[in-house]
Amino acid sequence: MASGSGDVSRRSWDVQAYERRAVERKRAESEAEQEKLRARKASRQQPHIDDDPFAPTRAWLRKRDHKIDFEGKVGSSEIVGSIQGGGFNCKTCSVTLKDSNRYLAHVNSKSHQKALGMSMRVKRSTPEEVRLAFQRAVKEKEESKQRKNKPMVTLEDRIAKTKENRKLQRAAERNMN
Amino acid sequence: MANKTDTYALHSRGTDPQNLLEPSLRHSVYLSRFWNESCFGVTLADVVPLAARLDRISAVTAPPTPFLCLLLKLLQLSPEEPEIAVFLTQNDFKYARLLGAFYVRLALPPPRVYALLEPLLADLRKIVVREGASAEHAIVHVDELIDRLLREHLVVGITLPRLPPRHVVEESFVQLPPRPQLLQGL
Ligand SMILES: [Zn+2]
Repeated sequence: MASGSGDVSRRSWDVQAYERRAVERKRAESEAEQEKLRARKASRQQPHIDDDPFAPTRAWLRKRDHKIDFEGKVGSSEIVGSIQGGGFNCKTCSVTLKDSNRYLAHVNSKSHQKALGMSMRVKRSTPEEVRLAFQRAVKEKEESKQRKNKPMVTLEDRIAKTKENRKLQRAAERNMN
Repeated sequence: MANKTDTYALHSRGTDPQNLLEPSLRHSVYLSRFWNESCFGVTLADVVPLAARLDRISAVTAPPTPFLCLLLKLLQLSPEEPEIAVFLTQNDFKYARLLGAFYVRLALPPPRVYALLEPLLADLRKIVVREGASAEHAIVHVDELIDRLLREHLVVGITLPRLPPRHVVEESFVQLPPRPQLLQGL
């Protein structure tokens, strides 16, 4: 940034810094949205099981379904300046953390979960739930294997398929009239 | 906070099962990316897809391997025998089975360790194991590793609690019948 005596020089804007801020604002907003969704799912879970005397009064803790987006910021430690506004912002708690590690520690913290209405205790799984989880894992493994074995779809194939679909659509419209 | 042991487990066991892993291993896990990003807030059922993706047995700490992180996760959640037994009886994921075996060896009483791990000696599949930071990856078999879990006190760099020999356990605990011999009927 140009620095001269403040009165005389033209003010120049640090475009990059503002762009960074815009990117970060977007990230923080989508993250807050995802966290809200997680909290809503958690609140819908059955709050108590009878044989657990330590069941929490707040909702059971749930895992994050989304990946935290650290893109391009991994391990970076930006200095939080009043104008620059770097770092990671948590909209849920309106705090800004200096780097990705501290941000991660914050979103895993009790205060953050509390703000979302969750306790710090996860529900204990039953043997049946574990068995089902294994069945799902097997299915997932098979599906990913099938996806790998599938032949590549070429552009020509896709064009041919689209043409075919259009033809069918038009024929259907004609029949309607 | 996110690293605390399940309250129910703490009360039913009287000690903190996470202490079964050495402090140095534990603390390196607490600082690791995989632990904080993927292992936060997971239930035992949520551990399953993570365990299904394991591809080696190694407890190297720079950075901590997923295997080590998940082992600590199991200790934190402290499932009881019926839940963890599902890990051992399933046949689809050999590393998930071994993860469960390490947990059983660390956290359950000797008669249950013998009862749960001995059937796995019939599993002859190949696995990739790394002994430590200075060792190379090596191919061994599931039964070899299970055998070592039953007889040794240090496996892949993880210190295991003392396990009395089988005949001592048989004599002192009524719950353990002698091991069925395959050659008995001959
Ligand atoms: Zn927060």
